[in-house]
Order: sequence, then C-alpha cells, then structure tokens
Amino acid sequence: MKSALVSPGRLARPANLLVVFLLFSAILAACLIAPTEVTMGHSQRIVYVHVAVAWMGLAGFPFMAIAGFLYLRTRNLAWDHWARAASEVSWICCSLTLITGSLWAHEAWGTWWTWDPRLTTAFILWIIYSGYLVVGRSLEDLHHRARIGAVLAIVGALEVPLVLFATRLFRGIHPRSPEAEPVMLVTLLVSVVGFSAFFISLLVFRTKQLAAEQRLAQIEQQLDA
Amino acid sequence: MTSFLAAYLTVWAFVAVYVLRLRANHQHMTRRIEALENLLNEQLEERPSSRAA
Repeated sequence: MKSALVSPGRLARPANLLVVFLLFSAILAACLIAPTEVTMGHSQRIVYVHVAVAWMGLAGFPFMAIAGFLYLRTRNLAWDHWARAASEVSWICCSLTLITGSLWAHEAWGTWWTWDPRLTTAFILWIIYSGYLVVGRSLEDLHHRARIGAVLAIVGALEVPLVLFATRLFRGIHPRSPEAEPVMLVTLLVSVVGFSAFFISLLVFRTKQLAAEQRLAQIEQQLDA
Repeated sequence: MTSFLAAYLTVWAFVAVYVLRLRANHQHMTRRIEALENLLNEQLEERPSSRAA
C-alpha cells in the first residue's frame, strides 16, 4: 500500500537532478555571469528572479482554468488536485512577484509601492489567488469545492491578460520590455527556465500528495464503515 | 546589493517554508499509512481466530 500511495517513481531521481542543475545554473548566471548594470548596479539583478516568479504567477490561473474546465467536463477529482497544487505554487510566486517588485520599485522609483496599472492588476490577481485558497480550505465536500474552484480559476484566468497588457493598455511607470545586453537576456532566459523547472517539480509533487491524501481518506472511511 | 540579497533571501524563505510544509504533510501521511497497515494486519490476524471460534 505504501509504495502505491507515496512512491516517487522511477524518473523522479533524474528529474530532480535536472531541476537542481537548472536552478543552480540560474542562480549562478544571475549572481556571477550577468554584467552589473550601470545605472542601478547590483539591484538590477532582482529582475532575473522577479521575471521568473512573475511568469509562474501568471501561468498559474490559465493552467488552473484548464484543469477546472476538464474537471467540469469529466468530474474527475484528479484535475482538481492539479488545480489546487497549482494555486498554492502560483500564490507563492505571485506573492514573491509583489515583494521582489516592491524591492525593485524602491531602488528604481524611490517608492515601495505605487498604484501603477501593472502593480494594481498584479495585486488584484494575488487577491483572487488568496480567495481561491480560502474558498478551497473552507469547503468540506470535495466535488462542491472542485466546482467552485473551477469557476474561480476561470475568473482568475480572465484577469491574466489584463496584467500582461496593463503596460500597453494604460499609462504607467512599469517598464514594458526594456532593452538589454544579449548576456542579460540569456541570463533572464536561464533564470526563467531554472525557476520554472523548480516550481513545476513542486507542483507535480504536491499534486501526487493531494491524490494520495484523498485515496488514504477513502481507505480510512472504508475501514471505519 | 542589499535589495538584491533581500529579494533572493525572501524567495528562498518562502520556498523553504512551503517545502517544509510539504515534508511535514508527507511524514504525516506516512504515519497514517503505517497505522492503516497495522490495523489491516491486526484484522487479518483476528479473522482466522474468529472463524475457529
């Protein structure tokens, strides 16, 4: 029973090693390889982690909306496990986007926070993520929770384009896509890939854990009956 | 430099808390599985004796 419920699988070890390698490369590239920017100095390096977590924070809701839609179509709780795991990981990424963005803003604009369209829409996205987590924890019935979650995820996914295009649609101070040296762009890419691989591995692990938890609860119920 | 370090430390602090939470969940689940295995073993041991009675 133990092996079937919590076994990591045959590919887990090479996959974990790959994730560690990618993440290590990302940190190394951001700290040592990327050149120091002339105007902002070392603070500019925040961008490598800020963009990486922001991308994962944005990708969460479309992923959860697809999982939610598939749940509504099939009524299979496995899709809800993917959505719930993604909501946790994406909430962390969205929170980190706001925090690292605030640190960046303090260096670049001299303020910790301003109601810029990009910042405001990102904050609204964080509130929807938080709402999803609160609703998920307050409902007992698994299918009821999955249904409400699917609807919330679809609403959240509709907010993502607003965050993405906020710098183009509205006038603000957040940079669109500033020009950078090729080394900086490569570092940014390595960072995005490394952090994405790491957060995806957390997502896969959490999904398996949620599925195992549900199966375990079912077995306990059957034994109690 | 301070802002850069603060950003990186914040990221790893969040990640560490989440990973520790996952680990605690994993350990809790392993204990539940062990308890279930013990319960099942006890039930299996009781069955032949109850039949014999």
